[in-house]
Amino acid sequence: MTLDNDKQNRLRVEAVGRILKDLLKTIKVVTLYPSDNPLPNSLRRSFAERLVDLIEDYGCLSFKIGPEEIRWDGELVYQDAGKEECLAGLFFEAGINRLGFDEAFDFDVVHRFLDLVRDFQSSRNGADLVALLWERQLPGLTYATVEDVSLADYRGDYLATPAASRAGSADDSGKIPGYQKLFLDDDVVELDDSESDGEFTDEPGETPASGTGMSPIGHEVDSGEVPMSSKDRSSTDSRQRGVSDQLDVVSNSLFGDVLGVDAPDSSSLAAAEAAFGFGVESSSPSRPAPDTTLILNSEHKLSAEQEETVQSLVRQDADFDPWESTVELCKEMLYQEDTLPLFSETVDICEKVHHDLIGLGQVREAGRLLTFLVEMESRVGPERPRWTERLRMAQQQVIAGDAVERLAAALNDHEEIGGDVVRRYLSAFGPQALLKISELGRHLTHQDHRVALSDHLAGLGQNNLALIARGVTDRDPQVVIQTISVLSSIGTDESLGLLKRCVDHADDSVREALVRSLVDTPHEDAINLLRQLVYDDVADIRLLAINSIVLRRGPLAFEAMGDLVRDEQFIKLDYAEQQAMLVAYSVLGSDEAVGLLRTFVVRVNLFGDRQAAQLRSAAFEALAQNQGQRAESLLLKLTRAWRPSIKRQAHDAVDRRRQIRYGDENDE
Amino acid sequence: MSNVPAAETDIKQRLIAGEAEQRFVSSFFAMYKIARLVDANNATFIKHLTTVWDRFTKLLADHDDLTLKVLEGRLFVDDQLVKFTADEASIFRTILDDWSQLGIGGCTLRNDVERTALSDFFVFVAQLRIDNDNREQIATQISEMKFPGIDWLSVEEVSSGVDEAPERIRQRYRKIARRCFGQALTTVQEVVVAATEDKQINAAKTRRVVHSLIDHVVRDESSLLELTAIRDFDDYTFAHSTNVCIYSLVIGVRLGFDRARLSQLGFSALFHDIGKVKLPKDLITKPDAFDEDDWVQMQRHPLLGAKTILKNLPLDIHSARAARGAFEHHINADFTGYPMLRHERRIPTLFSKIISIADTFDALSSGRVYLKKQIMPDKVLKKMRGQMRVKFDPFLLNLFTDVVGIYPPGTLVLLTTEELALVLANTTTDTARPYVKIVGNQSGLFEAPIWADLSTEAFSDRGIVRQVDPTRYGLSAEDFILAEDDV
Repeated sequence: MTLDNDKQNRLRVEAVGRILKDLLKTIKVVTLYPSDNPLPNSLRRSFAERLVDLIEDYGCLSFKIGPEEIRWDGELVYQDAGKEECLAGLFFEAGINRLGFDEAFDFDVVHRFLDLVRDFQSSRNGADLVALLWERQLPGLTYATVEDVSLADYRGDYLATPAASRAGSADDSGKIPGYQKLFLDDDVVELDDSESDGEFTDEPGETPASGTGMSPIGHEVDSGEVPMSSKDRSSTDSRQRGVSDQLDVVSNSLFGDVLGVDAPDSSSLAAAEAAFGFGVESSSPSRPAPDTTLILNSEHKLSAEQEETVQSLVRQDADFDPWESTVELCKEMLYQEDTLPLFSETVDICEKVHHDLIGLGQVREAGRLLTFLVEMESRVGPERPRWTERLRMAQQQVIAGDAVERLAAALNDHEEIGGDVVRRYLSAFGPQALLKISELGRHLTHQDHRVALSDHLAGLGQNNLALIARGVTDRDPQVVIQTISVLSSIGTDESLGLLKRCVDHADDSVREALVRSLVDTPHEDAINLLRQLVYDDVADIRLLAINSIVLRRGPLAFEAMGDLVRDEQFIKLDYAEQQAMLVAYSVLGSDEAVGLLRTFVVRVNLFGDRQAAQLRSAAFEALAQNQGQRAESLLLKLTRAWRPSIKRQAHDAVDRRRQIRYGDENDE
Repeated sequence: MSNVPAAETDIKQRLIAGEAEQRFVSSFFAMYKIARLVDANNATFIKHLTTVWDRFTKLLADHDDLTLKVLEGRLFVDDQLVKFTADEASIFRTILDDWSQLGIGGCTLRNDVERTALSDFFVFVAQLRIDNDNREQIATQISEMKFPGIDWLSVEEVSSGVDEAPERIRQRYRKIARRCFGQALTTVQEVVVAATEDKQINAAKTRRVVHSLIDHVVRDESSLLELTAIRDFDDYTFAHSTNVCIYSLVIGVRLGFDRARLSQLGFSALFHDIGKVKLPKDLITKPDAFDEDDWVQMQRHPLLGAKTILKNLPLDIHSARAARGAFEHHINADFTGYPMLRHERRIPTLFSKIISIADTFDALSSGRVYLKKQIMPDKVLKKMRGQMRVKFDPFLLNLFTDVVGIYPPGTLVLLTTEELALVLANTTTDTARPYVKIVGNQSGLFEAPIWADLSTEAFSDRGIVRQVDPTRYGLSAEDFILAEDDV
């Protein structure tokens, strides 16, 4: 029986240990992969099912968390294998000592818990796991932190001085000086609202925003002239009545003579009755309570309308945008300072805020702050050169150090940030930051962001080509590629001259990028670079270059293609490339291309030369794809040729031509 | 901070019923209602009975028996207070009223009760329809009807069996409140030291402290509000920040803020005066009233506060809110106040408006922040609602007045019976008649205080004459607030 129990217990410990290992694995995968990836989704589903089943079988699972181990029911159920495998550490370092899951921790809550851990782990801004757990309040999840231990031990002895030594404590005889006076005093007048306290204000600043603002003009609020509502008046009246009532009662009380209060002549029997009629058990003398009904209770109960006000306030507050708010606050703070050191300190803070905003992926707001710093430079004006200098420094500072890497990381983490946001952000930087910003190309992964960067560099690069040119010789192919994109966008003689250096770049991806970027380059020389790339070592690049020439269209493209097919290297190309080039030549030239193609077609090949045969075949294909009338005529004429091979190929070409133009016969 | 009630080690130490207990009570009373609508064979009846039964049996792991008691309108499960939502309260109130009319103080479900007995119990109570004529008859019926494993408790039994249970619970609340308050003070002190030395502020720790305060405000705001009346600190700045945090949180709770927003509000309130650490120490501790130059310096503290927060805390929604709150808490709704806005007139945020009210109230009633003269809280409220009303959002001010009441917790009052009492909590029925601890009379201070809910019939003979300024009579409110009273 005992053996059975031991075995059962061991099985339970193993099962709990397994679920913790699964938890760690799931957390790792969930953190690593994006939420739309099927892998983490299936893993978290199966984990949730297993955990919920386990809770159902074993009841509440309560764990004791150590620095590197987790215990359940006193048994070691998990031990961290190292820094990479630290589940205990994850919770322990957050200050969690105990963690429990009960039956309310259902399937949905498991998902919410995993989301929470993912958010915590992916946070770049020092999030606190315990704070997140507290704020999200997951049902069925219990935890205890180190604070609970310290709180339990806290004695609460936070007063400045011990009670015994405080003023008013009992003297040697155990009596408190002045205590008796409390019962003798008539300072119920405190409840009278009519008195005015000249000093009553917490602040001097009742300064209107349009005023000078700096000189305190307070105290006028205490004029006592604020009109009272009828309610206020009645409450005051009633309380004033209460004072006289009280005096009546006191004078009639058993202690009246002791108190030495002269009885006012107005009789207040009702008040006296009220005071004595309470039936005070101690039969001690009584004073009347002031009538507070008018200033209490119903006045402060929330009506349906007020409830609506609450809802409206809460709704409005939900629109609070912390990043926008902080940027606006920074702007206001910049306007608040009147001396250079304090202004400079505020600019320091703006730099820090900018840094934090980038870290949070709030590129739009970081851009707004940066733009404001730029605009402020002109507002400050030339009469304060050191102020403008400080602002200019800030603009450099925000892109200094590892700022480029941070910006890139933020953009890479937030694909949803649009290219327009990136463009606007970068537009706040002047040419002086061009070199630094061009380094972004080294890190950016999303196409939208890369295009935005190229646009920015191209815009500023025209007048700063030397800075951009450095990228051409960079060792990082990504930087060269980004530079190519910029230079081809600029499209000047100088930029094309710089691009020429990339034609022979050792990295295939660079040459490929060069071909792609040259398609849209307006400069005519781009076609010459493409011509060179048609004879690249890599077949894909060659084909891409041919297509790029075709895509550029126009007489220059036709001319370039003509030169290429007439070039002595042309014959050395393989069939596919020859065909591609001839087709390109044919499409670009239309009727004008037919003459040259005809020579390839009719050239006699007595000895059955393979290259010549291939060339003829490619030429026929080029004619088939030529939409001009001359190609049509030539092909029809060749269908009647005496040489059977030409006749057959011409027929095939005509058929193919029909097929291209009118579609397959079988097509509807 | 924890979401684990101390109950995990000792269930009796719990002050508020745990989630499982709350769920059980909820299903118990829902069943009570359902039994009145459908018969015992109905699927809904069976389904709900299963829920009640399941929840009950699960609770038996922690409880020997389960006793529901009604004491002074509050419901307890084994001495643990059950908190209802507003919706639940309206349903349960009618049932508890019925119990009250029949002299039922509660019931005990023993661990040997069977499901069928529980079903019979609900069927029986469902057919009871109380009116003026049959009250006694039904009471007799109840006393005669026996259900194995279930015992009715009369009002007398409940009262005698757990005499002064609410006081005992209140005492526990107050002890926890003191710990939370002390922890908050220590944290504010650490924040101030870090800010003074321009070091990074431990935001995570501060947030956890705020969370503790929120947990306690939600549990029992009075015991924290009571501590805000303590003035005897060497450096009142720490206490002031803590007090403003507590007041703000109480308003936030009234506004129905969710946890995240309460956390942000408490955090902001705790930091609202952080700019003062950048002002000369002499100015802050100056015993006399400020002159014009002092005010000019003092007016910079909102700006300095915003700067300090943005500089020494990582930017997140908490610090963003806090910076705005620190900057705006002296800007009035009509843009008077300070600092004067020079760039754009932006309306202060809801948080800033809340903090502004809490700050002014504590500053004026303490006499330790701006004015060097303490003003009684009732008078401060009156002034805030009258002479200073342009400064505050009227709706929020109303709400705040409702929270602190006319006699805020922690104030000393003179009773109509010539007794001195400490206000402990506002009552929901009448803020003029709070829950108090009577500490003495003309003969002197009592050895053991009398706990009195002035809003109840039992203490209807006592009323409040006025607030008592303790300093005027050589008293110290702290001594009464922090006294370790045995109940």
